[in-house]
Amino acid sequence: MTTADATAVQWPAWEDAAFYAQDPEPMYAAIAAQRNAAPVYWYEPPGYPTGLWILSKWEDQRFVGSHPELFSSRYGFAIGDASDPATVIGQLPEWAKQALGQENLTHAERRRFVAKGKLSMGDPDFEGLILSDPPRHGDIRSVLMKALRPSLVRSLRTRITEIADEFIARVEPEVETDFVTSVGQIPAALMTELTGVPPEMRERFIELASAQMLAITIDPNRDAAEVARIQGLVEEFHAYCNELLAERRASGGEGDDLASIIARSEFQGAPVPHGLAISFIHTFVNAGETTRALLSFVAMALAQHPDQRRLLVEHPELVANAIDETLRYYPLNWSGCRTATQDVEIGGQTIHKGDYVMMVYASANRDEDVWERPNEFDVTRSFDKDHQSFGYGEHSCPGALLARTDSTIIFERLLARFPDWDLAGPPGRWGTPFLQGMSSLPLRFHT
Amino acid sequence: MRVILDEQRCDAHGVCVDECPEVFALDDDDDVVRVLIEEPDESLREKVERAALICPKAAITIEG
Ligand code: HEM
Ligand code: SF4
Repeated sequence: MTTADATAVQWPAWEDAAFYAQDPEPMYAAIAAQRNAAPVYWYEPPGYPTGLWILSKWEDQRFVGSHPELFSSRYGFAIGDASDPATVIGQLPEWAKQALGQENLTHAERRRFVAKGKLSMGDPDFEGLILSDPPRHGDIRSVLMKALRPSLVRSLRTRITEIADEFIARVEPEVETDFVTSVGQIPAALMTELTGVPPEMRERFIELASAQMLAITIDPNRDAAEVARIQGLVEEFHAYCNELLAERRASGGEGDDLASIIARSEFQGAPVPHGLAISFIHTFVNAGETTRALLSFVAMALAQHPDQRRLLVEHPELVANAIDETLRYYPLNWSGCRTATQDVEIGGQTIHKGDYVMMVYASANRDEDVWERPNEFDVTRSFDKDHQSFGYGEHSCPGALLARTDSTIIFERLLARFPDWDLAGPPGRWGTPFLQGMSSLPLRFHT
Repeated sequence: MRVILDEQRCDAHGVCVDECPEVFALDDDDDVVRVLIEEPDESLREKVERAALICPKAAITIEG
């Protein structure tokens, strides 16, 4: 087996948040070095109880994504889920601590308790889509798709445009403006409104949802004060979501908002179970935060590539493509993990039953076998083959249409108002090995 | 050539319709995409293959 020492470039420290915070150029050089030398690589993160397979190639990831019967989602979906439970136990709720105390658990079972523990916010009945397998996964997903159905998303275009114009009208030219908390706020405003959060609670809700984004990734290196801060916010978030749902159930769920749709939906002939309904409410509110991150990367990429921005001003019909190019170039969800349900051979390596597999979507997005000039940002790029930034197959992102619709409208409107902007200072980043986003993006807009 | 759609998987976001409207269709109130021609003509093979490749849910398979 090839080892890291065999190459001049040091290979990625996949478990380490700091790896993802460095300059893109050396980072992608490290990723490419591993992809080319060892596309299916057994990696042992320091401090982890066992290793995991790193899948770097687009083709291999497509195989895994379309074979949920070979690669289960039940046993974790992010690298941190495979941490030594002892190092993250403080970030888990009571029920998960107890479950992890049982003897003779397999690595896979431990990962499940860690993964479900961090998402559940103390609720042992919590059921997330990303931690389920077919056939139940399809049944759960079709309930969510009732709320995210394409006809509904298409009908939102007018409302999205109104909200976008309202926020963009508040942006002043020629002064330093933080994109993340101005234009970046639009999807969160939209999602809280759609979900049915009362207007007076929306701002707090949005604050809480950003803490939830951090909680999705468990990280042994997080310090105790940060863990406590996140936990406090997340508990409040969960309590608000519970309240909202209880209120909709009590009132019969007759409204048009997403919480009402979930409250009156059925799952296998009965009302949607609480643990499932609550995970959907989390999803809606988080959707505002992931889309905020996407918008921020688009705004940054267009500040860094003025020629590409000018192209969009001249050809607004390219904006949708520019959104996908940004997703490819600056992915938010860096990777997705699965657990092998039986021995499978990929790229000449035998992946054993129970092994954890990480598909590095960001690597597939730069795979030389799929992309011409992979390190170039090109808004005219053809996407005959899709990037991996929304995942692929059974668990591919159900919010992709909504995210693309939002972002396209927002940048069409923004470019029509401000054809030009540049960076007014260094961007602030937040990130975990699973999710990347921006805490601030100082821009100066020009008319 | 035979087009097989896994309805359980389909999200109805309609990417396949953009690639090959001759074979796939989606009305505003459809929950799954409709296959208009189950056994399309060979001349449509390239387009159908593109649709199957781009479908994010891997819901389309082609037999034959
Ligand atoms: C804005 C940019 C977004 C990006 C880049 C993104 C990315 C992703 C990715 C990569 C996955 C697959 C994870 C895996 O393979 O393990 C995923 C799944 C998911 N996303 Fe998104 N997402 C975005 C927005 C949204 C929105 C707007 C919603 C909801 C309205 C949403 C809801 C979900 C859900 C529920 C899943 C789990 C699906 C399943 O397991 O079947 N996402 N997303
Ligand atoms: S692209 Fe796939 S998931 Fe989307 S509508 Fe077509 S078949 Fe369904």
